Amino acid sequence: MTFNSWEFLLFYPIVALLYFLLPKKLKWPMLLVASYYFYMCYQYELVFLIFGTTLVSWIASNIIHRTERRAVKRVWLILTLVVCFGVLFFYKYFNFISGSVSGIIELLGGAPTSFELDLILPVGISFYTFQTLSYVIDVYRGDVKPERNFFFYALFVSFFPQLVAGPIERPGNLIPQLREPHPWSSENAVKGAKHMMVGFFKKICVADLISVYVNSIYNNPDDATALGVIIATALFAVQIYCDFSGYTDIAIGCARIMGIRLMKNFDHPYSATTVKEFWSRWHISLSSWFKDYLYIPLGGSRCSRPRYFMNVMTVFLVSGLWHGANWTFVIWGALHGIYQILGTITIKGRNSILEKIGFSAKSIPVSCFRRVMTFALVGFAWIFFRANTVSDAFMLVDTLLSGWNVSLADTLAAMELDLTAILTTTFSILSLWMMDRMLTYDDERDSSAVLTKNGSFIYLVWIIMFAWGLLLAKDMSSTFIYFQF
Amino acid sequence: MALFHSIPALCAIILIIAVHVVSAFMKEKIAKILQFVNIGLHNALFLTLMLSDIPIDEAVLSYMISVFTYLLVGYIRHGGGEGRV
Repeated sequence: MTFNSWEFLLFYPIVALLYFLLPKKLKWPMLLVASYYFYMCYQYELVFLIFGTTLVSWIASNIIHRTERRAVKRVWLILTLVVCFGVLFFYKYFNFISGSVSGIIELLGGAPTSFELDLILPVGISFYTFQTLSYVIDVYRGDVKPERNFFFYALFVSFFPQLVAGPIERPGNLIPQLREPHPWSSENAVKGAKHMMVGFFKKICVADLISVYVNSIYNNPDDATALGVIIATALFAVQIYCDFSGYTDIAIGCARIMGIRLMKNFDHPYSATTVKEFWSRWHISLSSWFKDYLYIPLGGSRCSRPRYFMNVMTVFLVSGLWHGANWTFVIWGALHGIYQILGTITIKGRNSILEKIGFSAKSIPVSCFRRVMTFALVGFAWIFFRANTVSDAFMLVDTLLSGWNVSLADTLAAMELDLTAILTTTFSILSLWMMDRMLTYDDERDSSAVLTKNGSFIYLVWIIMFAWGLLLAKDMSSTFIYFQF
Repeated sequence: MALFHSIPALCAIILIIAVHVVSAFMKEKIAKILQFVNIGLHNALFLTLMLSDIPIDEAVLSYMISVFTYLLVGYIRHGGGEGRV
């Protein structure tokens, strides 16, 4: 049951209605049942994994809290990390590792071996594993007290709006809100509905619309041209943003209607002027998780320069690997690590050049130039993220450098981008930009008010119902990209 | 593009855009009525397009133009919002 399905349109209103009708003591148990039902609609056969992860982490956190001995706390923390990461590694990376080892053996002249298992990737495993581990680590650090009620803790791990693709919530934010019974609030309902509608628009009317043109290049890299790679990559940058942030908006909206505020996960990432700033605006819950639980424990930036660079590279390599069991993701992560390191090394030189030519770093021309450059760098890395294999990725990069012998008209024709498609894509992206800005601001005096004034709310409801009609008409019942992580 | 060769469809799109613009500057009660009128116009337009020879992709385009106009009018009317982008 994905968010963009008729089943969810039926499921969510029932859950929300029950939430407001049930007495206080039954609200969270109902949410727990609904969350497990939601998960089992994806993969009922693997529900024991999320249950097992929940049980292990709950037991460990309670033991860690009760014992006074530091050594025992550490043992239980390490045990939990081993078990949770072990499950994640087994289901997500076993075949990748065995395939890579087999490849190395063949490269060294050995006999080809294959030891792959027929494994199903559990949906959301990367997300709920990290959320569980942040809880155990916070208990170990003394930042939160462990939850004594196992079933209530299970709700924190499995809360359905953010279970499958984030945001990766922190216990300090989510647990108190789940415990608190939230009465009906028209303000929460309107703001939650706004988020959901914008999320559906992003997914159905933008991401799914342009995915066709992206796939025409990335699924046929042999036939690609340089212009095709540029257009498809730029469109993929929009697609992945709309797909992922659209899911997050729907998740935030679902929770907000029930009075629960999930953390923000995106903050206009493509307006970043540096790659470092990009990562403070993109998948914020993941980047902050890595900062708090990997980067800072490694020493962060409070160490020698070589050590700092090693920490940065470690975080981005792990981040790349988190996204998927494929060397393309590792290369994608490595590129971002290199960008950050080079950015740090060259910052003084770049600023002194700006001073010499009389420009301020915060001036509009410099800001615009930096945004374009950041988008170009991030876009180049997206080639590796989207490519199906490493060889496809390098083929596309090679095409980018050498495949300029085909005209724009021929490229567009090959991608089936006729005038209608170009105009539709343009208007949808421009609409997306304005909707995103409107969502950002909660001030009643700003443009978000237009969504509720002058009958506009009804109009928006109509828009989204029409989007569902498009879903049926164009058979666009697709999954979200980040479900595969 | 078949859409732009269809006089009724073009007139409907222009009318929808005009209603968006006008409603943005009206008082709330009148604006609400105009928005409901627009919903009716949209439904009539898309029904016509679906029943005609015009491809569904062009019906989608007319929808996007309408959404964009609606947002743009509201965006300009209400100052474009504040804060960091």
